[in-house]
Amino acid sequence: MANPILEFIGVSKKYGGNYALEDVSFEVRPGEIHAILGENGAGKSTLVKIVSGQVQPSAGTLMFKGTRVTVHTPARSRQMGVAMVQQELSVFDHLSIAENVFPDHRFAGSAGLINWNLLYRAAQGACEAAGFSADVRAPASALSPGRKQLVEILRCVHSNPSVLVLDEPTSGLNTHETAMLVSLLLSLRDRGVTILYISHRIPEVLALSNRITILRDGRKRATVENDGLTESSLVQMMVGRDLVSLYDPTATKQNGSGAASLAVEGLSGYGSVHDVDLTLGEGEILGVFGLEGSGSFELAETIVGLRRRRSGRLRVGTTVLRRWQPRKLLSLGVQYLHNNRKDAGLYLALDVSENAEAPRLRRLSSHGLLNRRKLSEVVRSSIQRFEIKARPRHQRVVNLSGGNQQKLMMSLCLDGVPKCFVVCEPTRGVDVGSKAQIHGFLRNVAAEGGSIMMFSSELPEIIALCTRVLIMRAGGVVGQLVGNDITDENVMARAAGASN
Amino acid sequence: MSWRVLPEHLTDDKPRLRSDKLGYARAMDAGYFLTSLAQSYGIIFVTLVTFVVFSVSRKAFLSPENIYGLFYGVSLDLYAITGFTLLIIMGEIDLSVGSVYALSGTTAGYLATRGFPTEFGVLIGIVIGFAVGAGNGLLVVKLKINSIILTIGTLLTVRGLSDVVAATMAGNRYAEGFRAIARARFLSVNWTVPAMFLVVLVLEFVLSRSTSARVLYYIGNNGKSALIHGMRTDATRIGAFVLSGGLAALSGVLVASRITIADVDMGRHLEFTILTAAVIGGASLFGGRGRIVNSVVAYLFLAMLVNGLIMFGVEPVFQQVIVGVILVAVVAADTQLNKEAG
Amino acid sequence: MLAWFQSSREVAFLLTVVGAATMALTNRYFATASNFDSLQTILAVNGMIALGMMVLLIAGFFDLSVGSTMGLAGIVCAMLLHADLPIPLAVAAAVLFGATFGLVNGVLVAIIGINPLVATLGTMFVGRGIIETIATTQTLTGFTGFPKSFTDLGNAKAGGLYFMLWIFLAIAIVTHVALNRFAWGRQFFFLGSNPNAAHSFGFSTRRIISVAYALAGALAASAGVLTVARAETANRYLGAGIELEIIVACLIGGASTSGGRGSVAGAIVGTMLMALIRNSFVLYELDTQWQSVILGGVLIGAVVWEAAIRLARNKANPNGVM
Repeated sequence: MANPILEFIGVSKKYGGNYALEDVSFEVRPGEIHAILGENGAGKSTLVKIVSGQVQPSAGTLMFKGTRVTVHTPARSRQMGVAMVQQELSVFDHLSIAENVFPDHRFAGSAGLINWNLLYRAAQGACEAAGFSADVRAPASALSPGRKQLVEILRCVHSNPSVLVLDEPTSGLNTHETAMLVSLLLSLRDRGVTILYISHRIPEVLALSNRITILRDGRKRATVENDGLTESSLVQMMVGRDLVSLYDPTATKQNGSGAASLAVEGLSGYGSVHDVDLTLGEGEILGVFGLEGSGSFELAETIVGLRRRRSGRLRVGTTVLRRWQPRKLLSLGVQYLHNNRKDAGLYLALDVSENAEAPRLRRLSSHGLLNRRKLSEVVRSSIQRFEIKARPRHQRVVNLSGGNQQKLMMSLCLDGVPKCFVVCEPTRGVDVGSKAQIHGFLRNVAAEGGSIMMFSSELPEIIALCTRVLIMRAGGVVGQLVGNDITDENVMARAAGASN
Repeated sequence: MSWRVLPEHLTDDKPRLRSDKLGYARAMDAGYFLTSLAQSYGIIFVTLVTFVVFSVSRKAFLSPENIYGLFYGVSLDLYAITGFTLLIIMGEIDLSVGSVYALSGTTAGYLATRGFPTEFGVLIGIVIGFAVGAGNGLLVVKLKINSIILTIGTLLTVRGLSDVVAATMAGNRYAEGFRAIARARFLSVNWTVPAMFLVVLVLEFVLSRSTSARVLYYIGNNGKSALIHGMRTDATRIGAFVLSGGLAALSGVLVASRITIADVDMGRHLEFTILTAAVIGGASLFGGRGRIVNSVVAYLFLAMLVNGLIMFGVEPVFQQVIVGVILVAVVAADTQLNKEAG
Repeated sequence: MLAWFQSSREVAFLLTVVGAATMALTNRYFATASNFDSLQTILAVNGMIALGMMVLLIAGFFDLSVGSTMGLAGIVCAMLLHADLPIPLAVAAAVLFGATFGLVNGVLVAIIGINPLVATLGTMFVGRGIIETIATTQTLTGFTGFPKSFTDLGNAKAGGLYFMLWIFLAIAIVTHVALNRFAWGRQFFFLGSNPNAAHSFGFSTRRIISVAYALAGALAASAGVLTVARAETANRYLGAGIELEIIVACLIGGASTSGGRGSVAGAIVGTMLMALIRNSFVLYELDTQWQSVILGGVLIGAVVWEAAIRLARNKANPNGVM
């Protein structure tokens, strides 16, 4: 057996007190399609970033073609022949498809003189070999997002890499485009290219890979040959764990009183979200689970009014809304926690006190002026109630730890009077201790009669907190699980498209 | 206001403060504290130092007429400075302030000279300011047009219109009543000077305490967060443009009254000077930061600098060079700090 | 058909043709030799600067200091000629000066990371200030009295067209070829279209921007030298305010404020249309004040149109409210 082309030996990556990857060892053989399977937070993206050189491991060794890699940078990894297809779209909209496939214009002659005919022919050939026909002279902006993704993949493929790394490549593709990608990858493998395929989509992984490495909670669960594997066995390996460890087993789940506090009817957005109906009951914690590309956060933003919608109605209590903005929902008692605190939800350049003030401006004002006393009272009680370890003033929020930032953001959202909450990724990037605290806050809210719609891609917290779970895939709600049916396997199977 | 930020200038991993064992971040974010101290009070310190240096080295500088002249000049431009600062706090920019200043002032004077009551002329002038501001605001916010390019367009159009009015005045002086506006005295000084102190004090208080004013800072810091927290981001943005236009118009009317004739160079490059003042006063082009007091003091500093340098024999036209260099240097420093500190 | 109208460049071309025809029919001075002369010189000088600006706009940037560069380079050339430097040397030094000035802009924007508005606004004022300071040492007419072989650069014709127009056409062709037939020329488009992707792909974004600014400076300097040669004088007003006219010309010629789009043909068409508009002010004896109004109106019209098209297109795309 030939030497492995890529080898991870005891690789760990620590962020603060958390292990994103812990003692991961596996090898990738030349000319195979090796899949990395795992749910969100399992460590897939960290692993990929280590391969591409964006992140340095805290411990352990990376070997490439038998030699030890010391300091790895994106430029070095390109040099070594690793080509990576990112998750963010890197298409040049204004330029032709041909130039998107070959941005380096390698068919140019000496001094860089371009031979357009040669370029177009090569691009045409590349597209046809991948199975899709397009006018390569047309600008890439004319393509659908799925086709754009394919073009990007073609770009990487044609840089003649020795290792091609694909990170969730099918998250934006429809079934036809996925089939094109699969056949392209298979033909590449026949030509001897090694492919590292990161995904959570079980059917594809089974269709494509020679071997599969399953990651779970930052550790390697197993590396298996794709020989007689079943979907359910993969699901089991992905999610089976000791749930007792992190989450309070004695905490009772809230069942909800039955009255609907929020209902969504026929909601369709301009992206992938289409025809979503759901209801949220009083005192309930409803989980909405979806993997990358499922459209779950898009749905959350559309419900709250941050994204434009094509059609649909919202019912808050007894009020029916056909058009709404976040402001309107706030006045009806619906609060929103954004899924990415680095993007929105906090004011990173301001201090805790100023952050605490922002969502409560009207409440804290007397005669149009800020009531400083009331503000410091609110700040003090927020810091206490949410156990935020930070000084109220003179300290930029951007410098707080992730857990404290998240708890601060929670304190801005979960406030006083029990209402309705749309919460996204409540424990994203948060250490274990803060995670447990945050889950406690959510439970308390529900216990006091508030209703929570929790969008999360972390299966454990969905299972720990929710009595009812909706599963999303490809922009639609594909399943609902209630009570004892809520298990890792059931949820993951529906989310990953495994047919049962 | 958005512009291209090259990928090299985006930093991912920012240095975090080390926590003590309880998890508290280090006592105070010393960097934050010192930087915001410098941004808040630095310009005041610099201005005082400059004042002292010039007073000590040139007797003519310290003369009452000279000092008074500086304050008088700033007191007229005060309103335009205020409007511009409000927009910068929100992360927007209006480059047409100088032109609006000129059009409103010249039109108000023209109307007064044509026999309309002075108050009417002033009113029309200010309404023009509001109208232009509204136009800017609606196009920038609703059509999502880059505020730099759009307000350059407004700058040109409105400057042209103001030249038309100026040409119609044909070098005649404005009506007596109109000329008296800037000359009216209150306790033996022009009323605009005590008004300036009063207005600045009131605005300082209002901006730091009024909830509607604090919305500006939040929108400037993170517009999406502000939207999530229920602030009316679009309406506030448009409102700030309207207000900026009206305030620029007010300053224009006062200055037109002072210079008594229609001058085509009125307000030319005003936006440049005010922008420089705002930036060296600590406002950030990225939004979320800025104080009216600081912008005004910085403007006074620039006026003082120009005034003092003339006494040292520096060519008046060379002042542009100095101000340009200061602007670029301060923005470069601001950009560096922003890169490192997030 | 509607798609054709979405291309600003084609519409501008149509307007230019229609406009020229209208002017030829309604004004007897339009089709005269002297009018064509002035149109040529405007096209050559403005067009040269527009080429540099277009390349910057394609890459997603702009330069407000080209007018100052033009004026300063013209004055530098004049001063060198007065110091009895041989003409080729004086011209070369002036162009080199322009390139250096542009490089300063490039460093400020690409390396330090300053907003192009502020950076080039600052350099514009510094440049203007230096021009004014030098101008105080001269009489109102500025520098005069240049050797004939120099002024021939601006006044001589070859084959019925001005020498400077031939130079401009040559530069235009070279720029067009560079942008469309050379791999490194395409990099401006990549950078303008998606700076993050360009960076990840390995294009040296800093180098591309610096080159673009240096080029714009050199072209502005050449325009300045030619203007001095033609007018036989170099005074403080040289190049004042021209930057806005050039930006408008490029925008109506198809450039976008957000980068990734533009062409040499567009720069030429836009400049021609602006020259025609300026010409009409003279021929129809429109007061100069209205020039600014129309210039501003055209700019606002161009950006509003671009925004309207962009919004209509985005309505069908998965984009958020913010």
